[in-house]
Amino acid sequence: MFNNIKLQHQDKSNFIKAVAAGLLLIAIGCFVFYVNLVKKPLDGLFKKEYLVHIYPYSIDFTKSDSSKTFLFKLSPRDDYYYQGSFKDHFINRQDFKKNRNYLEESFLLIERIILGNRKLVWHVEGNITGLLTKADYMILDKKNGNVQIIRKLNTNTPIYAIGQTITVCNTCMITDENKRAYFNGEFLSDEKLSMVEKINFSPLIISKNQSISFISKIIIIDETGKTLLTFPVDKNQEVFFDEKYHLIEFKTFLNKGNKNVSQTVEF
Amino acid sequence: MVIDFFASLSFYFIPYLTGRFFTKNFFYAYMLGALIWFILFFSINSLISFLPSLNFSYTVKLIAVVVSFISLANIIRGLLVGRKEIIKISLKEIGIYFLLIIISVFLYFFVWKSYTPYPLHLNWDIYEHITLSNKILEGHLSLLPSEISDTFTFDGYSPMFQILLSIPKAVFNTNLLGIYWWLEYWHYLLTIIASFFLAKRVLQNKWLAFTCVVVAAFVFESTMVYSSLFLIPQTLASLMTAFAIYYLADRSNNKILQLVTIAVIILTHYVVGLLGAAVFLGFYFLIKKSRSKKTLTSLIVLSTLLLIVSLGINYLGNWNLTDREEAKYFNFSLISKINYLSDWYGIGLPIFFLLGYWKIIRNNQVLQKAILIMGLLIVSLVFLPFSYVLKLYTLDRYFINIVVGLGVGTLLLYLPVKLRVIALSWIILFFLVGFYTNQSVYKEFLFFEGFESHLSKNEIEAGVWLSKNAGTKSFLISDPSTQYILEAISGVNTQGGVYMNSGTRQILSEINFLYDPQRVRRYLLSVSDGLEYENISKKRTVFVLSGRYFAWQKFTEDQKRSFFYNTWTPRKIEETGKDYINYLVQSGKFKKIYENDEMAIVEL
Repeated sequence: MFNNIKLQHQDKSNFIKAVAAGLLLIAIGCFVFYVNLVKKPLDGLFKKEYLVHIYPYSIDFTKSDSSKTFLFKLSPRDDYYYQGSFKDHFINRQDFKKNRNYLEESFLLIERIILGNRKLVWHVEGNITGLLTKADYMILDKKNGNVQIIRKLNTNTPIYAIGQTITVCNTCMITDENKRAYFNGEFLSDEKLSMVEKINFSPLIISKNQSISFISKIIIIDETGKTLLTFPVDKNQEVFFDEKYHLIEFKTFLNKGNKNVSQTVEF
Repeated sequence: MVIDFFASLSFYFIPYLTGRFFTKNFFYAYMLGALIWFILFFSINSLISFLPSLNFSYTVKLIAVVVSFISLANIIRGLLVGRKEIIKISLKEIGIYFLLIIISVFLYFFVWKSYTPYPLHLNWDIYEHITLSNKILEGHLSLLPSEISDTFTFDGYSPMFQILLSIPKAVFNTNLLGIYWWLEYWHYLLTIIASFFLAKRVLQNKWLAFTCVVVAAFVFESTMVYSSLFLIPQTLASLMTAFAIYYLADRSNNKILQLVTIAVIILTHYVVGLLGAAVFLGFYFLIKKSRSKKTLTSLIVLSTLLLIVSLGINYLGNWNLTDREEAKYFNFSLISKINYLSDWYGIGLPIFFLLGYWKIIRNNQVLQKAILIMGLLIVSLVFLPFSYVLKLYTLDRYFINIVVGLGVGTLLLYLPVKLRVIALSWIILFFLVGFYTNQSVYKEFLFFEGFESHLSKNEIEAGVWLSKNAGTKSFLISDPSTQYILEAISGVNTQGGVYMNSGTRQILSEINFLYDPQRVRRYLLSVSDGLEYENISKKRTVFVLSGRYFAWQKFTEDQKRSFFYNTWTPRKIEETGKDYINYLVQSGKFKKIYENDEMAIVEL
């Protein structure tokens, strides 16, 4: 009988040790994940074609050589939503909250290490005219050197279109597959005209409220005519260009209930 | 790439086959072979002074090939005659070694070198070792590396490592850059195997030994130590010490071979080697002479107290051990060292270490206590407030990893057998995350056009071009980083490589965007090598204007004078740089002989 009691006591002790050891290992592991994600957040991707980095208020794409020349950026302060005749930015505030989901980032990190899939996620939160809005951005590195940008707007307001907006570099020119270079009239100078002629493009003047029609691609070039980026244009998209702020908006009409839009960038 | 793969294996096999005539033990054969080759190189060097027509490199090749063939023939003959040469190894052990190889391949090629394909590199130190090996094969040999090349301003080791490195080059006649790319993988695998051997012998439990291997494989000391992923003299000396201690613990009693081993370790790196010798002797006295549990426990307590004292000394100040300018940058505070350890091992380090410590204190295992004593004594040195002492962790990691691995394993062994595999997978996962983050932080600043590397393919191409076209009597001048890399790849001499002296730095600073070609030329021609034998043979001077050179010229004067500031990554030449190059060439005082996106090479 005494042996049985001793055995039971030993079993209980072993059980407690096992539970304590298991909990300790789980806690240490979770803490390691957390600390590593704080130390080196998953806020950047680098490839031969580009570097992308999440900054406090935008996601910036730059060249991957040591010059790190700016290419373009996206921000919830530039993106639009459309509701009836009303149009506004995702988030209007100058500052907005950035949310981190450590569990999601842990899975992304494991996916990156083991499978080599490279993704960035950015969750932001702010007010649109008094209503709380959450927007999620996902940057997916495609193996062919291209990038997919997914925007998801979480809001209760019914919206029928999203304006996916990018800000390009100051010296970048907006063109299409038919070698037309676009300008807003008031910013077209002789210097720009001669540059366009030099690289055998045709200048075209549009207002910032006029959509660029009958194109399948927007091609961003530098002053020498070298292609930097290409944005395929969908049939359900309208493209607008605001030269003052170097903004290109891809207004995408949504199916009912859908608040996700996706955009491909070819480098 | 394939030739370099086999050449890299010869770094280990040729010394092993040489020593194999005298002993069948893998490790002792390698150490003896290394010493034999060390002596042989000096002997060939002396012979050449009597027979100048003898080619150094060819002689090394001939001896290496003949010795290797005879040794291999001996081994085969032994196998055929039926001697028990075959290592007896169980299927279970094969499984474990296979797993070690899988882990090492995944971590090394798919994580560490994921963006560093052949033959790019992440180890900045390799270029000076390649340069020294190249010089040795040209017949320049001395016990002092500073007398072989002025890239060495400090004789921290004999040329043992570089002699071993030059053997594959002599035999296969291929560039050491590619060989080194494979060599560092073998080194990494061997550090894991050494940790496994030592842990298995000390802990007498395969589960625990495996957890020690997880720690060894996934911990990368990313500042100053670099034990597992960099092959440099200090890391090789530590690896040799780890194996030496394993064989000592495994009851090897051959004192001559042990003495040879100590000699080779010291010749490989004086500081780490002497520490290794002291540790070896310490182990010898602890385990060969019977010590009571009470004595060993007292020694553990004493080592712990010494560690506490060492931590306390940090509050008195810190001191540079040498007057070298760079010493102050390698004098880390106590908090920095603790942060580094935390980065390397993860946040679980104190818990795992204390658990391991507690287990060792409570048991009767002499070897475990000896490991803990040595681990604590060396870490006491590491925590002292002196410059460079962090380097000593290169050796200590083998002991600390066992204590930490024991702590991890202790938790694992509390779990039921069925849950251990899941728990082990979880442990591997969070160590993997730690390793990934640690090495990512190290490599982050090295990114250039899709690769993580200190050098670019353009620089390799330029170096190879120079090796074929510049000739051995040429002298190359550029910024410290450019000339350091190009000298290693091409074999063309420079003044000091990255350790360029202050006079040359001053000259380069004076000619920064100087629009007076005659003066630029005059200044460049006044640069001379630190070693007279190089100046005597100098016939032609080439000046390399690279993206790195123009970036270096943007440093402040203080930064230019410092060994610590360099352009660590490749750069493209900007427009202003291209304009300046064209200006120099059009002046007629400089002839452009090579050009790519990252550099132009002009001849004076």
